[in-house]
Amino acid sequence: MSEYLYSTPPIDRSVALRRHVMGTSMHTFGAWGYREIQVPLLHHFKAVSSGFSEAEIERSFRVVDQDGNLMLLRPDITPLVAQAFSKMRAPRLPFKVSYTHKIVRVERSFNRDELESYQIGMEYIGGDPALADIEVILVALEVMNSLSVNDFRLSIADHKLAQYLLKSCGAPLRIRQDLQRALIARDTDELRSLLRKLGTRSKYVEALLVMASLRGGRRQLEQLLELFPNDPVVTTRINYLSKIRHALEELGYGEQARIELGELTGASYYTGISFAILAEGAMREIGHGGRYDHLLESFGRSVPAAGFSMSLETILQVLNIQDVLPSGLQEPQVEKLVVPDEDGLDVLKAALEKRRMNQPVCLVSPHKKGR
Amino acid sequence: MFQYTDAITLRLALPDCKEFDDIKTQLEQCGFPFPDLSQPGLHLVKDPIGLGIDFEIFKMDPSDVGVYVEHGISHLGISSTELLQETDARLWRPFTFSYGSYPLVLAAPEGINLDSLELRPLIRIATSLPKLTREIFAPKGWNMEIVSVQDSTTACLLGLADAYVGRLTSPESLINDGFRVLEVLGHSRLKLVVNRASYTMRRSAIDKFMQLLYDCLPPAPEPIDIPFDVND
Repeated sequence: MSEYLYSTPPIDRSVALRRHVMGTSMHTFGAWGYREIQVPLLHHFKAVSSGFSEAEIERSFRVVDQDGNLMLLRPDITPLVAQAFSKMRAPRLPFKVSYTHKIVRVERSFNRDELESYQIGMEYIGGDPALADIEVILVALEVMNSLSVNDFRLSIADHKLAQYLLKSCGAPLRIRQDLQRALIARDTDELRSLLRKLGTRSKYVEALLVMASLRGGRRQLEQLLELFPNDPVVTTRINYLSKIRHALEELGYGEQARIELGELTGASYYTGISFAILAEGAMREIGHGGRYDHLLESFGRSVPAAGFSMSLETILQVLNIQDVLPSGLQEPQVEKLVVPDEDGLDVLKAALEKRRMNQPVCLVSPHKKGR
Repeated sequence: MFQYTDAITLRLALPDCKEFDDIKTQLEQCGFPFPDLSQPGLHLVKDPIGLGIDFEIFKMDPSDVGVYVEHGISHLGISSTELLQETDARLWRPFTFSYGSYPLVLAAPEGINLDSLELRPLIRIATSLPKLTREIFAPKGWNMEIVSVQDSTTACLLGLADAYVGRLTSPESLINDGFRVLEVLGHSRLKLVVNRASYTMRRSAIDKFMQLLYDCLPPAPEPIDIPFDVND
């Protein structure tokens, strides 16, 4: 049996820090017009399973209810928001929601498997996809900056472009997955070796090697464009990425956000641009986001969408409590009021009076044991 | 959280493994004054190659390198691919060393072949790579039990297992121990591994170090002659 992380529950300032991260994030989402949504913890497996990949289901927890129905404990919020949206009668578009929810799934942790974590995120369903893509990135950047995450980088990739080039290699699905793994690991030797076995045309080999190279940025886009100057799919995607890159640079985010076409991590349902947020000190990416145009289709409503989410537990790895926690959240000086066994009413009245004036109080028993 | 003292310091985790001397030789050929790593802990090497990069080097168990780099305790490391697959470490592997390439094999004592192995009601496979072995054999549909041990050869010789999965580093030793290769399951390669976030922060320094490794890459050794069971 796996050894799961049943950690000591957070208490006092650790909880205050968590609340601060959640509050700051939700405040930012709210300021961009995202309404808060809550999705249930338990879902009928049949009703939502189409929104999850096999690997995601493997990592999830399923239980049988008293009627014999297979139920799923929410392992990820985005597919559940998509399912909730698809059940709405006539939602106004764009449908913009944010959430902070605990999710349950097997997640790799420092030395054991972590089971529960908080997911904080937002979804932008419908609307203009180009506007949604840039807005989601801007909101993610603002959240990171408002949380004072030091030296983070937001790496932008494009799943549509990657899938198009991988399919063009003529590889069967299993080999495509190996190719994608090598690409994500920036293992150009492995990539070259796999492509050689497939007999892939040199232009496509070159393109995938460019994507896997460590040198991202504008040059990476230019190199791909040089390889495929007349390919409508490649040129459209490159022009789109160039526009996003240019916009982010003009808006002052040129240092924090960067094109990295090999950074194809994140959810299995991403279909367009995606991004990962990395910072030294965190075991995995702090957050990720991207476009998912087919996820809602699996619930019967075809609407394009984009979103971003981050793990509270991972972000806590890179935050310094001294820098982040506002003094207002630090332990207040609490006046202790001893309530005598008999005639304690006066003390209780005094305590209420102080509370009406918003002063902190702590009632204590005169007995040693109770102190 | 680990506090970094210098923006252009690179911390490098070296595996205490068979290829250690080859790694040392390559780095020395690059002009890298190799510190005495017999003492435990970090060894600071001040700007060894004149590129304005300090190094902190340490030696460790090969199977731990991926964990240290994945968590950003070390920015760089050197590890073989089968260990990375075993730990499922999410790292970048942008450089392949010309040495340290070995076949990953299923081997058994002489006299056992694939047919006789498959006929057993329960096949016991000894390995120090239980997760990877399970993944490799899952599609075969064998009724097998993985015996997770560090010394697979002894496990087979003393009857704890029927065969083993591991890197074939020395065909002579395998033959001398009375074993033969039944199947080549893949290839293990030695890689420079990089923490994803570290690269984004220390891009220029890591690029310079990698270029240095490319410049001093020794020729690849002859491929290993695999001692298959001739009767199989």
